[in-house]
Amino acid sequence: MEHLLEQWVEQAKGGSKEAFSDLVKATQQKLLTYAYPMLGNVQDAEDVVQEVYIRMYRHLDKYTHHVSVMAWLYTICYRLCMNKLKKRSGLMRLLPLLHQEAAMNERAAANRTEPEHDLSLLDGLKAEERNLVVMRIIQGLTYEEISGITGISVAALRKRYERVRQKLQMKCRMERTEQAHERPHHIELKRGVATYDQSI
Amino acid sequence: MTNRYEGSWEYKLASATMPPMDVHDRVMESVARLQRKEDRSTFLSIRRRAWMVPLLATCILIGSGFAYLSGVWLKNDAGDTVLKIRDYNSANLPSPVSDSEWESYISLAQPGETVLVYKAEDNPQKIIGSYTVPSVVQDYEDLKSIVGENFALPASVPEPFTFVEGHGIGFLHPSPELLDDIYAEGEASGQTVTRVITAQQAETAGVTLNLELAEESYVASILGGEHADTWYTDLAQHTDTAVVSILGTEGYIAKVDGSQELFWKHGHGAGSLYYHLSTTDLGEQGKQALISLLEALAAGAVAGQ
Repeated sequence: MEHLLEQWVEQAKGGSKEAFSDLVKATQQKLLTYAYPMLGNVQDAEDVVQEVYIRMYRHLDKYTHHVSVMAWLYTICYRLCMNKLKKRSGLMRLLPLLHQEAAMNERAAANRTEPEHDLSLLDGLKAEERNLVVMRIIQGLTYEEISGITGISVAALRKRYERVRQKLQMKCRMERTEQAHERPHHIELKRGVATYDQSI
Repeated sequence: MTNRYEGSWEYKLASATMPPMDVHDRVMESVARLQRKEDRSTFLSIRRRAWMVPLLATCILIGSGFAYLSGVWLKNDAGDTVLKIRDYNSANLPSPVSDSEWESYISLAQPGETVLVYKAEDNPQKIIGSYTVPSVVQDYEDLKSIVGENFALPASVPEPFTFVEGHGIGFLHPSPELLDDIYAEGEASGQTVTRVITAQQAETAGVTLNLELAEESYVASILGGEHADTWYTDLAQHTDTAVVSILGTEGYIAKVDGSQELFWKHGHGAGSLYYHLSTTDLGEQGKQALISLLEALAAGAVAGQ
């Protein structure tokens, strides 16, 4: 696959839009499934990934074979996501709320449904912690690959991951306990969503 | 059957379903817009400035890179294209101002001054030519001190050549208002418009060395290669063409209009250097001398990478 990506990059450097189009088609889902859990909503994820490809296109001539095409794309995407998160860092505490609101707005606008998912686990994590979990668990990258993208040493990543792992384990335990005690509240919430779905 | 992983937070995240997302069409629309914008800015860039290299009568333009035409692609040992030699085409035409016309316009200016020329006739690309009259020096050490270390000149004159004279190649960035004024005047009158600019300091864009060997003349010009990735020329006028490997990068040699010329480039992007050498010696000896001169001139750049 990497060989094919490099071939497309070389062809795109020579002016082939078809090659660039193939490259976008082949790689966009990896970037979107990284950006979405990082940013918490579809619109921001798509905006960032679009910007990744535009930056890549502008700097095609600077691409060398020292890093893989995918690592190059991840690096751009990582930086853009981190910048976006930093910009809204003041709103981080409200992210769970924004998350739901954005999802509802998108449904209303595009009449499309967002699947249920467990990304709410990431709410409350610091930007770098969130990045580490998304890259490790959702993207399946190795510590070495993450180190190449973020510039953080493998040893530091391992330590950080262990701390996040404990934090998330604790969070899961607490959620299970809350669910056991607050079952009626959750049923009501689900009814609310169902009513909303019927009205659009 | 369940595994020990199932139910853990890792499992929840790894199996999370993502919403349908697709940016392909948006990206390609943006790329198309970007391309149209670059085409416009390239056109403006061509209209507003042409790099006139003295005695070489070449015009280096920023290549669009999106139209494949006949030409020579020169690569380095890593397989990367560093320089393209391509035929003139409708988007990249020869300079509308001939060498003899330039000679007369240059006579209007003093060393350090810049002549801007806009020829309204036969100038479909609306090129405004720019030429900064150089201060010629006869001492190689003086030349090195004028151009500094930007062009990686060797410590001494390459042997067995004799240094005749040299100068820095200046490039002025006139104000857009001045360029628009010249352009408007030319369009209104249909005549050639010239302006001599005295006050502004030109940027040193390159260096030219005039050398001699066995009573034959050798001219070497070195320019910053950031925007010189394509050299447009009339390939039909080239004879005895050859691609040769010099210091690990391909160079192009051809006989053009009574001289033997060598084109070569080190690196690409910022910090790269473009070399154009020519000699009146049309024989094999002249060809070998061009290659050895280039090796001597570029050795510093290659060593410094």
